[in-house]
Amino acid sequence: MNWGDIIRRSGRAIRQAKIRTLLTAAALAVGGFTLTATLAAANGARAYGNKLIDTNFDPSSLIVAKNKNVFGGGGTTNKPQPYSSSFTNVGGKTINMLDQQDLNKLASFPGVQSVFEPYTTSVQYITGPNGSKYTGSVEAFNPNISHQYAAGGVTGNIPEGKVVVPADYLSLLGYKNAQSAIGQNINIQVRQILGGQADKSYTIMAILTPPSTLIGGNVNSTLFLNANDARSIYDYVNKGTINYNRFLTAIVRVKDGTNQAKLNAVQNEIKNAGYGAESAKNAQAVINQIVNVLQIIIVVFGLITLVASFFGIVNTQYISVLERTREIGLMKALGMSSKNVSKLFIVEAAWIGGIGAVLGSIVAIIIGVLINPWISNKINFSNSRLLLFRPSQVIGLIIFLIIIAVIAGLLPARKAAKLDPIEALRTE
Amino acid sequence: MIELDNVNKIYGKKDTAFTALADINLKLPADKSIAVIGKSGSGKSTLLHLIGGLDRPTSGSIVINGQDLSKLSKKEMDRYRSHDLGFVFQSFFVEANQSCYQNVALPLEINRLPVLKRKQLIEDALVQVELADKIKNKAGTLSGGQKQRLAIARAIVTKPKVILADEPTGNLDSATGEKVISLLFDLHYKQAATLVIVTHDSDIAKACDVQVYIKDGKIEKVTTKGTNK
Repeated sequence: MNWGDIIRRSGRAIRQAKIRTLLTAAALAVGGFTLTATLAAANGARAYGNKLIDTNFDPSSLIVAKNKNVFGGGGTTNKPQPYSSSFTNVGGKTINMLDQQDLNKLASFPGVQSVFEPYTTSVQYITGPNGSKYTGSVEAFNPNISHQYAAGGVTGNIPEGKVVVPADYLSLLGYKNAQSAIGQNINIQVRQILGGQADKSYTIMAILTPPSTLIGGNVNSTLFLNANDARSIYDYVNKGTINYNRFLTAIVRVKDGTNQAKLNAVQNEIKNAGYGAESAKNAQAVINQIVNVLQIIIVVFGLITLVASFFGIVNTQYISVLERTREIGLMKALGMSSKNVSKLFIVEAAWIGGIGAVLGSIVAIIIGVLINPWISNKINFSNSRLLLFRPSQVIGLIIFLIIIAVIAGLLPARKAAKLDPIEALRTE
Repeated sequence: MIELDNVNKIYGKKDTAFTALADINLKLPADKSIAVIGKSGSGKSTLLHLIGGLDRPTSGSIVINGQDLSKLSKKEMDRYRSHDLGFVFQSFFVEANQSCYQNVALPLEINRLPVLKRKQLIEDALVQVELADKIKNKAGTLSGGQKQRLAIARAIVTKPKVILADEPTGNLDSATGEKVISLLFDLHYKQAATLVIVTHDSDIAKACDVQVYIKDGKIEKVTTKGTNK
């Protein structure tokens, strides 16, 4: 018998047992659905993670701190430390700060293009036209990070006196909308840790789109200023304290940093000099690792449902063989080889596998398309999609499920192949 | 030419051994109609299975048209059945859920005949059994006689040298049975094939060229048309 005839004949047998086939395939479809949805969710999470990194970090830059603890790596500095003028305590951790000398030293490393200090400072409050006061922080604008703007825009660096404001502030502070806020003033009240208070005013140059990130909760509360403005606020606030002229982190931009080898080389160089250094890729790796672990857990559950449907297919195929004992006997009497009889039932199992897999992935894709906007809205994913289907993965999964079904069909097919035609024809 | 030489068939072993056929020596002419007559349990079905290559003798040799079956491998035996033989069974064994076309196509599929060459052969076979108008009908919708004619079409579509019919009228009323038998005689004659009919109907037996009577696994007598009367 040719493959074409075998596929047609087994397909016909499948059509004759529609309900049984559909039920068996449905069991497999559950596994297929779980796996398709899991893969899609993991794709979405990774894509989201990448987007998160891209909008928050410059891929060719390293974040450098005086010591590695800033990045949560071990160490002993969450214990009380002997006093040193360069220590500060952040969130219960004693952190060694960078000073101007460190910044100069970092800039002198070969392969380093520039050192950028964000001068991140918490301000007392921010006010606008309606006088409401809201918390926030300011940071120097980094021209190497790609922001998405709802209105206005910044090409190159931001000029002194101008500010980029997250969209969330607009309605809170009394601006009508993003477009009309451009060119208006926003006031920032800063308070010196050791007493003084100052009111600063900047002109809004651009509005950031609502955050596509989960970092910092639902509100992105950082306003971006020119580096000199940010520095003057930083210096004003911290004047007379330990933090004056000292910095938690610095952004080191690497020449040709998109070249992973060069980025790694500089990262190692800086680490060897005793600093802590992380790249966007490292942060990405951490996110991806979390995604991978979650994915493995769900995939394991998916595989367990596959084990159940595996036995379902074995059972169904045994019934199919029993039901068609006479037909098998006839085919063997007419000279069909045992091998072809076996193929007939294996292909039948493959049909069930294919139907189940296609069913499962279609349902997963339909549900994905339908609920993606809802999920994005619910968990503040903005325009990211949680379920991201890749055709190659879906097709690969379908093939995988067909292979599982074929393996499940082997034993019943063997039984069919071994039937004695005389015995088989005697059954009425 | 069907030659059986000292054929024995014993089922089971030692204490439970049962001799189905003992010392069968037969020479049956080619292209003739042969009736195998006997009561149930006489061994006539076993004889048919041996000639049909569905079973092998415990000892002795079976030579069909010069081909020694004992020397055939499993694969060659499959080929022998699919190319040289046509089977007709008492309970038809047509697939009720498949069309007449698909039922008759089965032996051609087994023979790996290209799809394009099948259609003509199937149509011809259905014309010969007068079922041409039912080609697209499901076999399940046919009457008993039509089912057996469909089975005959399936048996002759490969143009076999030997047609083996096991009680072909056993499930049919006498009028329908007669029609089926005359069709079988007609076709074996037209196709120049040897026809072996297992039966216990003496009228059918008498119509055959040769009658082989079997009793308790042994040949009781062999008669030829004419001498019997």
